[in-house]
Amino acid sequence: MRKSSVELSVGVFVLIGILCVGYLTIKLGKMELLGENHYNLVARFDSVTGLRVGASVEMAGVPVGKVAAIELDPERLAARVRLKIERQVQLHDDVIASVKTAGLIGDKYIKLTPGGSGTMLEPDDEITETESAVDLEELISKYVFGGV
Amino acid sequence: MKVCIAVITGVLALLLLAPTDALRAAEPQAALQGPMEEALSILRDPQYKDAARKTEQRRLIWEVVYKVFDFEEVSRRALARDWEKLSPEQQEEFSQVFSDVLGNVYLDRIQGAYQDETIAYLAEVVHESKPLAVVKTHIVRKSGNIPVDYSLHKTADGWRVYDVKVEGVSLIKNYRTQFQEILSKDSPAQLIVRLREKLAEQRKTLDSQS
Repeated sequence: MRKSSVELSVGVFVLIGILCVGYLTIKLGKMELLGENHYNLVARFDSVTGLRVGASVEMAGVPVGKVAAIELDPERLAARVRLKIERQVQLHDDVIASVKTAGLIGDKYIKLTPGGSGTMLEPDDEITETESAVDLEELISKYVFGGV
Repeated sequence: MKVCIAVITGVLALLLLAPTDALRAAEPQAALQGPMEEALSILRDPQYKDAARKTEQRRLIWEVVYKVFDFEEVSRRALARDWEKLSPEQQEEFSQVFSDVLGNVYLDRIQGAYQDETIAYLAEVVHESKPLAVVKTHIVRKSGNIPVDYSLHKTADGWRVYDVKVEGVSLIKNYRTQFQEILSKDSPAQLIVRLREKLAEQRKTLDSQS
């Protein structure tokens, strides 16, 4: 009788432990289990040099989403970026997505400049207006030394 | 019998439509290339070398280039959410003044610094589902190429340009942020007044040059 109550309390303790570890894994790993409070949008860029998965998507400096995936569009040989945007942020279809650098040499992020066309973007729609990453070094070398 | 005829006419109609579809796909670049070549030929024309004829040359180039752009769409996109705050008359006035300001800025660049540049047409990307297209070009000059991408959309009068990206920097984006800043403090009417002042300033420098 006493033995079984000890075993029971150990079992409960281990169970609580496992739940805590699970919670931490999801929280620290920034995973999302339930509650899809995001929707996906796709944007194509000529170049996304320096942009990483997980980089933030900002509007007016406020983070409103994340870069979920970056892949190569085999047909156009352009970068196709999947963005995860918070559901309460609704975007018009003439929004401009630009790849920007935080500071002069900081990390790359996506900046959204809101539009006002009246047509809203639905989940999995494409942002057609994009600005690619500006390669500062390339620009400098081009205008300082000139081309051939 | 009737069904048979209907099917045949249906197939024939499809066959007739198919080639026009292929033609349509080639349209965005053609809509841009024709007028651009015309503008370049006016620019190269030796009869406008004389400083006194520069104004006329400028007017001719503007007439050709103006038709390629959809300035109402440019204005609408540049103002974004603020466009709706303008009355229809203001919208029209704004498009007019804004297109003149833009025209002056770019004609100054083109006319003042033309050194036998040519335009190379690299690619034309038509969107699969929306009536949008991008024509990628390079301005070929001695000191290196400048990438210029034209975004076009399909209107009742054919493909028209609504945005230009030079070195990947969008014209709409540039003005959208500026107008947003101005309109957060001032009224649309004041913005139009500011643009008019800018236009008057441009005209003054132009007159002093000629």
